[in-house]
Amino acid sequence: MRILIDLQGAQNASHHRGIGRYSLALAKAICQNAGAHQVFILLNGLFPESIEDIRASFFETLAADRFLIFTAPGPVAELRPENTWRRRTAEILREYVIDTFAPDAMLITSMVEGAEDDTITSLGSLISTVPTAAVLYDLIPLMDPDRYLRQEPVRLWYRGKVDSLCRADILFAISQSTANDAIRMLDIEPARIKNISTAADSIFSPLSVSLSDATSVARRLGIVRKYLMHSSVFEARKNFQGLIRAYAALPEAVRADYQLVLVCKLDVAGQEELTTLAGKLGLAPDAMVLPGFVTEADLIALYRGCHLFVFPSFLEGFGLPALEAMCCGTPTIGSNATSIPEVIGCKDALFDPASTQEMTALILKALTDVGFYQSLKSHAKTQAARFSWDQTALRAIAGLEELVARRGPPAHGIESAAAKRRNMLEAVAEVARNMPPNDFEILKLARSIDDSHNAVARLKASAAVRAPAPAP
Amino acid sequence: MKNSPQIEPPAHTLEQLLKLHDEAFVRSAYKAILGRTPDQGGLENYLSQVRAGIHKAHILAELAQSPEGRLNAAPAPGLHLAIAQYAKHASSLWVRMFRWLGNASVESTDRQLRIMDNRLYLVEQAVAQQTSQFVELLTLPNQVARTFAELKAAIAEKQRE
Repeated sequence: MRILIDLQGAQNASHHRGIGRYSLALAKAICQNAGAHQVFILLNGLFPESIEDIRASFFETLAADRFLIFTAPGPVAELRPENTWRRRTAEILREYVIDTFAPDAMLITSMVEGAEDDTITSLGSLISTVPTAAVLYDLIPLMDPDRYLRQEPVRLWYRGKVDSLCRADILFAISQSTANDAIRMLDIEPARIKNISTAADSIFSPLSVSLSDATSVARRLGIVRKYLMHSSVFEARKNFQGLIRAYAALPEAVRADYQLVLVCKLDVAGQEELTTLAGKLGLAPDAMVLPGFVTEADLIALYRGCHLFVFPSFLEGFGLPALEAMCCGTPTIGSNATSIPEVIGCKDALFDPASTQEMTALILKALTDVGFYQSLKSHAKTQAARFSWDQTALRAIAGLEELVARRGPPAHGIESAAAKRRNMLEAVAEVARNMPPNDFEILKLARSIDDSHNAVARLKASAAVRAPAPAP
Repeated sequence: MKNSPQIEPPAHTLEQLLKLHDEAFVRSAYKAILGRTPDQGGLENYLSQVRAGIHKAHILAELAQSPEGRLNAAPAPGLHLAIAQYAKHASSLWVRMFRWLGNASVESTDRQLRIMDNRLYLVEQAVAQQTSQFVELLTLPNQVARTFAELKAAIAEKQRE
């Protein structure tokens, strides 16, 4: 089976975020577990700087001739109305490239992209026979539209992406909770969604940093006692405020031995909000530590040196920080909401994130009940071992195999190269009907079509593809 | 950024730096003073300052006097001193003119001029880029001309429907 993986999620600004890292880790693990299958990577030529980095990061995992780079006239960021013609034709062009390369299966690692950058993702701009899977991270914007989908253009962009997700032949959810959300909110049949789960990077391990090094990192960041910790981006759903309240409600005698360390990148307003709240609750100035943005090495040291990791979030697609903490061997408790119970995997370690009382009680138990603390510590190790990129990749590959087996022979009538081209021209003309482009725009599109077409032709002529295709 | 000018020759003197505009100016200033390419945040910050008409000498002085700027005196010897002097000179000249007029109109006019100057530069860049793209497209292989014709025909047919 030939698998084409759209890896644009690792090319744009989101490569600093969880999604970019997930995309890259999943693609690499699929390459390593592909067996007889052949893997190809689809990249976007509008991010030229990222292409060599990604190619290099696949060194020893994937040969250099397994990359397919398509181009389109930019800019295409969707939230800029002047880009509409370019964006819509770029979506057609990308799907045309996939269609002409004709892999046995396609995997899109990140669909919800391209609002403010040149990422191009869509499904259904063309009638295609390529069986397609897409990763689903969460539906958080749909659960809290007043916060995330307030502006009309953002709402339209998000809806378009969700429509594309719904057209996938199968969705790979990163948690069972996210899979359930899709079944409930998007009306996806359970057979069309599969939980492939997530894993933490292998550098999140007690072996990555010694306890004494962890202590010196903590000292440098202003931590002078044992500490409780929470780490995430700073958003309301992450419930930093709830944790500060629960911490403040601990009995003074217990609290005095522990600092509260909140690891997140904060702007001045966020910093002020948290400090003001801590002050109002009567916390001493050194009780709460806000180290701001920390490097990955410091983050691992902080997890490693932490006495108790508390993850009080209201809404998650998965909840990676809780898993990273457990991978570092740290006792972890957290919210009983959405996907977090799956990650923590222990009923006794959960609390209602809306209840300060419950949160305080469980923190207090972990800090004072030695038996409970030890059970959290040993549970962290066994639970962490349940997640690995190899397993996640094998689930994804199995999902693609089932999909191809279920799909059967391609639909009749649109397989020939000429038919695919007519299909594409027709779709472009349809876009042009509502917004007539000038000749210059058409000429730029023509050049990109040919460039991309040639890239596909070169790849098809290469040794990688001329070899007989492995059996599906 | 895609609409940015191509790689600029390195600017070594204060005079050369002040002649540059927009993104080219910010990139060269980073190169000359900090010895590195700007991070995204720094680039955006100083770009918005240049586009808002902040005096370039002011930005250079700010970079040179930042903690990182002080540490990186090596890449352009003498530049730091020149910048410090220029900034001082500019600001003292400023203060005098300001007092003389007794209002802020000079500053705002001057600032508007700098904004216009920078915009003009961007327009020139855009025109140059369009022209070169156009010339490039004129020399495309026949294949592209055929695809272009195909697209035109498909669009025309759709319009007739």
